[in-house]
Amino acid sequence: MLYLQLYQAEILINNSKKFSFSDQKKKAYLETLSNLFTAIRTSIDEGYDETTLFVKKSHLDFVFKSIEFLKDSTLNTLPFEVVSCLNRAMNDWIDAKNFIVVTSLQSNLYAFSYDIEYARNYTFYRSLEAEYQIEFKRKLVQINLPLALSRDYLCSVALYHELGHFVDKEHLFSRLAQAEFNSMRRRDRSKLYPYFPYMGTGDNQKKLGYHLGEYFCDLFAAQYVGDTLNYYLEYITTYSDTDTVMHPSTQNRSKVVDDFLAGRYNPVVNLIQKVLEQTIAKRLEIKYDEIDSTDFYRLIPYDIKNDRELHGIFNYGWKVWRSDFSLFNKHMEYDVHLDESAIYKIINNLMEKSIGNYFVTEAWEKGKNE
Amino acid sequence: MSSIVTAAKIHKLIEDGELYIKPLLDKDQVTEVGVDFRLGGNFLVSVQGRDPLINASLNDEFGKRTSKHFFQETRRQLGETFILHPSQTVLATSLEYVRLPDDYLLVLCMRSSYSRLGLTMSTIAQPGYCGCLSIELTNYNNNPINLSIGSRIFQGLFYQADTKTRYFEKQRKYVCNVRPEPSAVTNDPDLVILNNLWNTSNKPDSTDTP
Amino acid sequence: MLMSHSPLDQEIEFFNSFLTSAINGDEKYKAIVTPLLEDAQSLAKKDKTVYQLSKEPALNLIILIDNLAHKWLLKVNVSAASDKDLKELQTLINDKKNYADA
Repeated sequence: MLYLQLYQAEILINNSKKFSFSDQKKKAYLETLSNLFTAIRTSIDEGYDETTLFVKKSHLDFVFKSIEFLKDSTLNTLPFEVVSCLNRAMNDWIDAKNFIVVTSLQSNLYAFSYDIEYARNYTFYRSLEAEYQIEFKRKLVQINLPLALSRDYLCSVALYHELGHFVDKEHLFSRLAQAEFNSMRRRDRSKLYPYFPYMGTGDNQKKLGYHLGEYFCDLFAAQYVGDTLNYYLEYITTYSDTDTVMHPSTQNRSKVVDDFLAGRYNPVVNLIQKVLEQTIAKRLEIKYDEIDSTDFYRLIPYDIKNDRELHGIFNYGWKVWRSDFSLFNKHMEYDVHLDESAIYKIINNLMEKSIGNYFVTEAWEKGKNE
Repeated sequence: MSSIVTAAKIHKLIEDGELYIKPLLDKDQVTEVGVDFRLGGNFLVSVQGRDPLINASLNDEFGKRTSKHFFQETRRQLGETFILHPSQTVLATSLEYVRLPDDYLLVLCMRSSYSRLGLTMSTIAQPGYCGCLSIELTNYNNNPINLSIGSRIFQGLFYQADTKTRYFEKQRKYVCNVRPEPSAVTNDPDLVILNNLWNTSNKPDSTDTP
Repeated sequence: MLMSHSPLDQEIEFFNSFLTSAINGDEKYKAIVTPLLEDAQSLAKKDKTVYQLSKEPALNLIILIDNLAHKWLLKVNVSAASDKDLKELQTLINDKKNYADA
C-alpha cells in the first residue's frame, strides 16, 4: 500500500510542475516539497515495522496535503477582501513570515475553517530534518470557506473564530489554560464549573481542552467582530443550552463573549487573560470601532479609515441587517422597493467594496511612495 | 437644457456629497469635462457553453438555460494584468463605486489611448445609479491586449437632466453591484408578453391533447 | 463550524518512532529525544512552569510526556537515559490508549 501511495504522490508532484505562482514563497515551498518527495522515494524499502510504516505514510500524506493546498491556491476567484481582513488580524498575533497562507473554496456549506494540521507540528518537521535533512522554513496554512458563501461577509465572521484556532495552535493558549485550570485551588476552580459543568462532578480532560479552545476562539473573534459571531452561532446551533464533546453550550459561549464585550467579570475570560499575560505579555481587548453611519442605508460603501474600522465593518453590516429596513427609504428619501433578498445582497456588496476600497487605497499609496 | 458638466461642478458635486466616486485614487481623474475611471479586478469572461446559443428570449425552443452559463468569473488584484484576446468580449466593472445624483446622467466611453488599441465599450449610467460601473469590453485588434488592473481605461461625461428622477422607484435588476453581473435580460417583463404570443402560435392547445 | 483538530496522537507516534531509533543506537535521534525529556523532567519536578517553557516549539509534546510518564520522569536521569530506561518509557506511552485524554 505504501508503494501505491508513493506512485500516486509521484503523479501529483509531476502535475504540480504546471502550477503557476506569482508568489516566490509558494514556488520555493513547492521546490522543497519536490526535493522531499525525491528523498522519500529513495528511502522507501520493504519489510517495515508498524512504526516506520506510520512515519513514511505520514511523510507521503504531507506531500499530498501540501500539493492540495497549493493547487487550490491557484484558483482565480478567491475572496481577497475577507482574506486580507483575516491576515491583518493574524499579524497582530503571529509572525506571518513563518507561514504561507492559502485559500480554498469548498462545496460544504458550513466549511469555514483554518486547516492548520501542519502549522505547528514539532515532531513531524524534526522527523523530516532527521530522515532527509530537509527543512521547511515556512509552514502552509489553508483558509477554507464555502464556495456558495464566499461573498457572504455576514457569515464570514465565523472565520475570525477559526483564525483563533490557528493563533491557539501557535501559542498553545488553551493547553496552558488547561494546565492553569488543573493547578488551581478547588475554591478558585469552582467559579469556572458553570462553564465546565462536567469538571465539577468528574474529570474529563479531553472535553476541558476542547472547550477551553472554543472559549478562546470566541473571545479572539469578539475582539474584532464583537458579538456578531453570537448571531451566527445562534443561527447554526439554535441557541442550545447543552454542550458536546467539542463545544460548550451556545448559551455559555454567548455569555462569555457578552461579559467580555461589556467589561464584566467572567472567570473564563480571567483565566485566558492570565495565560496570555504570562506567555506573550498581551491581553484580549476590543480591536474594532463601532461604525455609526448611514452610508449603507444610502447605498454607498463606508469609507474605512483604519484597521479598527476595517474589522468594525462586519459589526456594521450585521447592525444594518438586523435593523428596520424602512431606514433605507428614510435615508434615500423615497421608497426604494428593496426586498429582503436585495438588501442581503446590497449589505454584502457594500461590505466587500468598503473593505476592497480600503486595501486598494492603501496599496496605491504604498505604490506611489516606493 | 442639458450640457456636459465640467471640472469645477464635478468637484462641487463630490464635495457636497451628491456625487459619490470612491476610491478616487488621484484627484487628476477629474478632468476638464469628465472623470477618468479605472479598470476593476472582477471579470466575467465569455466561454463556450454546452448549449448552442445564449437565449435572450423566454421561448424555450432551444432550452431554458440563462446567459450566466456562458460566462466564467475571474478576479485580479490591483497592479495585476488581464489579457483580452482578439474578438473576445468580457464583462468588467470600474474600480470606482459610483452613486450619481438624481439628475445627472453618465455616458461612458474608452479613453483614446485604449480605443486606439482596438478596445471598445459604450454604456450609460442613469441618474441615481449606485454601484461600480458595468462595462462590456471588446477587443477588435488582431492581437491580445494585456491590461493593468487599476489603469484609467475609460472616461465618463456627465449630463444634467432637466428634472430629478427616482432611480429606485421601480424595481431594478442591478443594484449596488460591485462586480459584473450576468445579463438579467430574461427578467424584462416585455419578454413575458412576447413569449405568450409565441406560445399561442407554437404550443399545442390543451383541448388538442389526445 | 469545524474545530481544527489536534495532532496530539501524531506527535506522540512520531516521538515513539524517535525513541525506537534512539534505542537502536541512532545518535541523531538520541540528540532529539534527550532535550525533550529534560524539559519534561523540569516540568515534572516543578523546576520550570509551563509558562517558562511556553516558547518551546515542542511544548505540547513536553506536557504530554509529563502527563503520560510523570513518575518515570521523577526517577530517571534523562540526560543519560539508558536503552532500558527508554524502553520503559516507550512501554508507558504505548500502554495509554487515548493520548488526547492525557
